[in-house]
Order: sequence, then structure tokens, then C-alpha cells
Amino acid sequence: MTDDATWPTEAVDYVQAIADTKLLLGQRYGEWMLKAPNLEDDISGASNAQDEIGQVRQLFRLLQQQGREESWLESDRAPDEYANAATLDEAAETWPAFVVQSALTDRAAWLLLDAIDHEDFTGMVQKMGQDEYFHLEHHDARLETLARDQAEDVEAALERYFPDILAFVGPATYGSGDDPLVGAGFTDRSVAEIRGAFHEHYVELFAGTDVSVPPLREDVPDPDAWDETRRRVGEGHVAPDVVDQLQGVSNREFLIQ
Amino acid sequence: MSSSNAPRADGDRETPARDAERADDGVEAVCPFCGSADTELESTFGTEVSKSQYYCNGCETVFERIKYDGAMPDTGRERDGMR
Repeated sequence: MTDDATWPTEAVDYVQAIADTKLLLGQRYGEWMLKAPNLEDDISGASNAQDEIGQVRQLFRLLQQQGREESWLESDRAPDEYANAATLDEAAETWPAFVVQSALTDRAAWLLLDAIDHEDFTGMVQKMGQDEYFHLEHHDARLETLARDQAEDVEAALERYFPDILAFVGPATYGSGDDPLVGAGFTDRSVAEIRGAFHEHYVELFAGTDVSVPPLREDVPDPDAWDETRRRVGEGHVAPDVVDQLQGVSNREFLIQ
Repeated sequence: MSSSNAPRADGDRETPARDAERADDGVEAVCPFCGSADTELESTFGTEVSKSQYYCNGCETVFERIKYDGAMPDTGRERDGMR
């Protein structure tokens, strides 16, 4: 485990991407918490949103220690400066799509967090994992039910979101000898290994159902086109009105100076 | 905390009848504010379904605890984020 006070630049970007993804996860959970098909799903949506935003608070605190400005983190950013997983750029239109969107993204973010091996995260990742235990158990239970009742919808959503979630995890070329964060000692599990564990989880989850999991393609994301800072391919971003909500723009009139 | 459950001026807390019937959950919940283990289960649900609420008799503060004693999600490897 490393304890260098200053992280490598790539590590700051890595944590920023996890934090921004959790920020958007909180937003998407919040959007669905009043329109899920069951009261239990509404309640879990509200709970998950609180967890994610709470985790963002802790990650932003660490990012500020690494020199990121609080005003930039909180409210002074353009939509294309958010490094969230591209899976969350747009709200899911249907319940099965939302479950797949949030399940894949929350699990990928957890695996990236779990890989961090730095003193600054001691205890914190474990506590976040305790939050995530509930999220991921709930997602998998819902995915199993949906795989039985709406297999085509689940499979279509997997195909839609898989390329973007693999881009968030990172390129297959980042094996144990080539992953810069492993090389720097900031993480202890390569992107390539995380990709394998992620894919295997869903292959096992959907085994025996009518849902096929997309193959783990080595060329997704394209390593040459992959943006290390925003952990995606391309220039996509969340809509400006979503960023206004993230930054609390409409609430500023109530701010007491 | 509801007003009926608030500390009284004499220092004793009023306890709703259902609290008296509630069994100890068998968990030692240590107060994160003062470190006291003199705590009581206040509610099996806190601000989230995944949390229980406790009351610390040491510093008279309500706090929450994540259920299931540190259960962690699978990561496909041995360590499972324990650090």
C-alpha cells in the first residue's frame, strides 16, 4: 500500500471519474425513486441516491487535498468537464433499462474503488463497500427477475450499455504490466483483470436464463481513441439541464449569504 | 428522533412501549462520536433501509449503523475491499 501525499496525475483523474460517476448515479437513482414499479424499488432508489452522494462528498474531499478546486468540483464546471461513465449521460427510458444502467455502472465503480491501494482510502473503501453491498444485491435480484420476465429488454439494455461501461473500466491493453496505476502502486488490480471479473459476474448471473451477455471484446474501448481523463471514447456528456440540477442552480435563489 | 422519545429534563428518556418489547439485536454498536459501547437499538430502520438507528447513553446522541456486520460485495477476488 502506498501513502504518498501527492497522487500521480492519472490517479487523480481515476478518482475524479469514480466520483463524477457516483454523482450521476445519485442523480439517476433520484430520478427513478418516485416512478419505479414497486414501493421497495422507490425506497431503495432514495437510499442508494443518498449513499452515492455521501460517497461523493468523501471523494471530493480527497480530490480537494490533491488540488482540485472546491468551486470547480461543486458548481463551476461545463457538462463536458464531468468525467462520469458514459452509461449515465442520458436517463434510461424504461425500468429494465434503468436497472441494467445502474447495475452495471454501480458495480464497475465499486470494482474500480476496490482496486485502490492507497493509505488515504483506508477504511473509507470498506465503508463504501458496506453501502454497495445493498445496492449490488438489490440490482442482481432485480436483474434475475427481469431476465425471467423481460429477457429481451434486459439483453437489449446490456448491448446498449456494455461498450460504455467497458470504456469506464478501461482498455484491455492495461494489463498488470501496462496499467500505469498498478505501476505507480496506486491500484493493485489491473484494468484488464477488473474487466474480466466484471464480465464473469454477469455471465454467471445470467447463466440458465434467456439473456446473453455481450462478449468481452478486446477492442472495446479502442485504446487509441480512449480518453484517460473522462474514461470514455468520444466527446459525449450529460445534458446542461442535468448539470444545472447537479450544481443546484435553481436553488441558488434560496441561498443565504 | 420523535419528540416522545426525546431526553427529559431529568435525564431519563421516555421510551415508547414498542421499544420495551424490542429485543436486543445482539450487536455491539459502538458510538462513532464518543466511542461508548453503552448504546441501545433505537429503530431497526434509519434514514435508509440498510441502516439501523442507535442511541448512545454516553453522549446522548443518535447514530446509525450499516446492517449485516460489514458484508461486502463480491469482487471476484479474495480481498473484497477489506482494508
